[in-house]
Amino acid sequence: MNPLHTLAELLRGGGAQPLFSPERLAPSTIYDLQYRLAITACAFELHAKSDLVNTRRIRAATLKLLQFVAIRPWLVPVLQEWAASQRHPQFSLLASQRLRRGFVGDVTYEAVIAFLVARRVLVRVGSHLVSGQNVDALTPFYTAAVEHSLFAAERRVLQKLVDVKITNSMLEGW
Amino acid sequence: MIRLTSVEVRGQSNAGPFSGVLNLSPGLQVISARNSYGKSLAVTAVGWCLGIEPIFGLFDNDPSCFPLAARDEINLDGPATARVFSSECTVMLTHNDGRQLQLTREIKGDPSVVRVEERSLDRPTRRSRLMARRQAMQDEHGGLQRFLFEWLGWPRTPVMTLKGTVAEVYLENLAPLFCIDQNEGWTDLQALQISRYAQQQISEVAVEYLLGATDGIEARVARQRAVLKDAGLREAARTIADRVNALLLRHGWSVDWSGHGSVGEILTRWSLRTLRDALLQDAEVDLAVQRVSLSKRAEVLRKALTSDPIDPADASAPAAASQDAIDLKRRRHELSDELGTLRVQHAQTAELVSSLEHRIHAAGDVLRLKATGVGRLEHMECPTCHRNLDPATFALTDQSKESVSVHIEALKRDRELMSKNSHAIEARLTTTQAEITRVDGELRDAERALETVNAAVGTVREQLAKTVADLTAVERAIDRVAEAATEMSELQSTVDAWIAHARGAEQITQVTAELERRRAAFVDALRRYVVALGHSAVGSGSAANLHLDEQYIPYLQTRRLRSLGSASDQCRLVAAYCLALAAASHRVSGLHPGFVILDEPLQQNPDEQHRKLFLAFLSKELARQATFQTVILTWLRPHEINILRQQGTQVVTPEGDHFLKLSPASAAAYAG
Repeated sequence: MNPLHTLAELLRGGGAQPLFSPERLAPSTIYDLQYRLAITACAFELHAKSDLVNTRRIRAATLKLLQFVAIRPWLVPVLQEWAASQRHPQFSLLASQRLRRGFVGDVTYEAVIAFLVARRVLVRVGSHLVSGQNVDALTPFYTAAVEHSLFAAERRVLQKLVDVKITNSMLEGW
Repeated sequence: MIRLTSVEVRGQSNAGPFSGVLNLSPGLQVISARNSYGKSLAVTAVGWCLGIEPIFGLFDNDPSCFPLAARDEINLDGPATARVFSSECTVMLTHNDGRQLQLTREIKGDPSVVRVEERSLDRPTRRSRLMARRQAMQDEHGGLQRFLFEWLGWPRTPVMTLKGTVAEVYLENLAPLFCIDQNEGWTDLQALQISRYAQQQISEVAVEYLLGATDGIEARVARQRAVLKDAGLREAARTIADRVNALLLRHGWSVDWSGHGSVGEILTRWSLRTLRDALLQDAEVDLAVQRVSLSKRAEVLRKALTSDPIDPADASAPAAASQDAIDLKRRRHELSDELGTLRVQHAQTAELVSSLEHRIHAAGDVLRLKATGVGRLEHMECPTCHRNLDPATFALTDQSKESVSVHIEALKRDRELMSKNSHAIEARLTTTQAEITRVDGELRDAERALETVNAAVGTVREQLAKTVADLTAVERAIDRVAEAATEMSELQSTVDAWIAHARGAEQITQVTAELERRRAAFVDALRRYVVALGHSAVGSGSAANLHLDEQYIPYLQTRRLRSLGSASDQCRLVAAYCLALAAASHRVSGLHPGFVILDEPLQQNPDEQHRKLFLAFLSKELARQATFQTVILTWLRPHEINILRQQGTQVVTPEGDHFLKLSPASAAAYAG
């Protein structure tokens, strides 16, 4: 039995009349594999840099931050403010408060990266993620998103973040 | 009723004068001639002389509906052609009462004018020149349509447009029901109906007009006006409600006075209680009682100031004035805190609504992604062991389409809830701001009073100063209440006027029994014609199930007749509809002109079965004994002509290869 059913039964026993809406049980699409793969693909496509051996790489924490903000566009001004306040350490600490909420515990991202690493789409090299032998599997997500106008808001955010300088000190300890 | 007597096209070419005449008889007749003979030229000439070229999709006075033969280059017998200098056509109409009308309009030349010749048994022939298209209905003296409607005894009937203005039923609205053109006329019922005039429900109006149901059209227009009025009333109700709510919020009163819903719902709601009642019930504010109470208080203060004895030992005035100011400051603080909280709540709610919007959009995209499968990572094979990687191993889920849909619905409900919250917070913000403004005013008064009382020397002066300050504050409050009462009273008058207006608009004209009678005659005739023409979906047994819907579209039980049967049944349906309308109109003394032109009914689906069925219809009594004129232009094989003639159907077979011919003298000279 679903925990909510159990709770409803318990409440009923106490004379309460709980209103139980099973449709609320539908999980948020934020935790959907395809959605997160698509957003990660878009972030990697737009932000990963090519190196000398023709592979593409991105700092893992940066990718985490980018995809986190991409699915929460209202955090863009917060990130911009935080990036702009880097010269003032005290203020910088305050500016990043709203970002930290939920970011550190974003385990779905970790799971998606673990999945992509297992699939050899990405490879972990120190603190970076580098394109693996199956990196081509990510490309259709980005192409399809552009061709079919999918996740336009998320892609707009990622495009906007190209101009935001995310430094190592910002991601220290993340 | 009238009938077509003749159609003539003539002109001048470099080969000499040319012409073609088609004489027509009453009743059914089939004009049989080969393709490219010029049969359709004759049909076009009828429409041209009546000034109804918009049904061919043309601008006014544009003769492009005519073939080149009548406009530019005429084909003569043999390979030769001749250049056309000028051309015109004439149509002769004969009324049942013996009157005749000859309409002539130039094709190449000046097509804007129609030369009219009225012939009557008891009056001399009258000739006039009328405008074919410009103000054709509006111009009392020079408009062709105005004249034709009068000559035919047709009433002018107003109809509503989609813009809410008034137009009329024009001849080009009626013609698609008795003049079926070869090119597009057979594609649907009233395929040539004009939609660009934006007349509301014009297809239905055209049928009702020809059936003579002008009362029905009047009722229809009244209903359309009622719908427009309804929209206007709803708009007005919303504006009034906005004004009422603005006033209530400005005074900090929370009252439910909504302008949403249908006119009936608003009417019921607003009739149940006045603004004063609503204020009393929802906000527990009674302006009259407040005013009386304040007046009594003012009276007491005035008395205390002017005639009551003053106790010199009473030193409480400064303390009371001070306490008033302190109470008001505390209240001001509370309100400021509340305002701050509300502002934060409002900003957070707005952010939440925006994030929900984003979530809904993203979830919609995920649903599309899953529905179309674009860009999906279908094969998740481990590169080492080549086994499928199960996302569950990584604590990941690939949600189903159903799950995403349910999530979207839940998000939408959340958004609705949050939007309502946001509106409620906005309302509270407004009332709180209004309350702060009021308290600020009272605080200023209290501080001034305190200053005056403190400056007063002696207890007597202190008491007098306090009483004066109190009296001033009470008088200001009386003014405010009086002002609010006046505003409320003005708005109540507006509400009352709206209620009276809405009650007047409630009576909607009902469909008359007379319309039902005419409609029944049409249905009856349609059943007979559909069966007689051999529609494959309707037999004599099932014809009783044939009926017309509100838009006069034929249905067989629950299915649209157009969607039933074979491709050639479409042509049979169009023919049956037009002929049945003419027959029904005659039976109920309607306004049908009395002739039906069917151009090339056999060419639409030239299969043998279709030909046989059509020929069988032409030899039936229903077709031959019709009380109206039926002109069918087509091409029949010699043996088909013989069969029809043997059965008494009139078949005309014009001589020569072309409708237009050079005059014998010119032909001889040109050949020479």
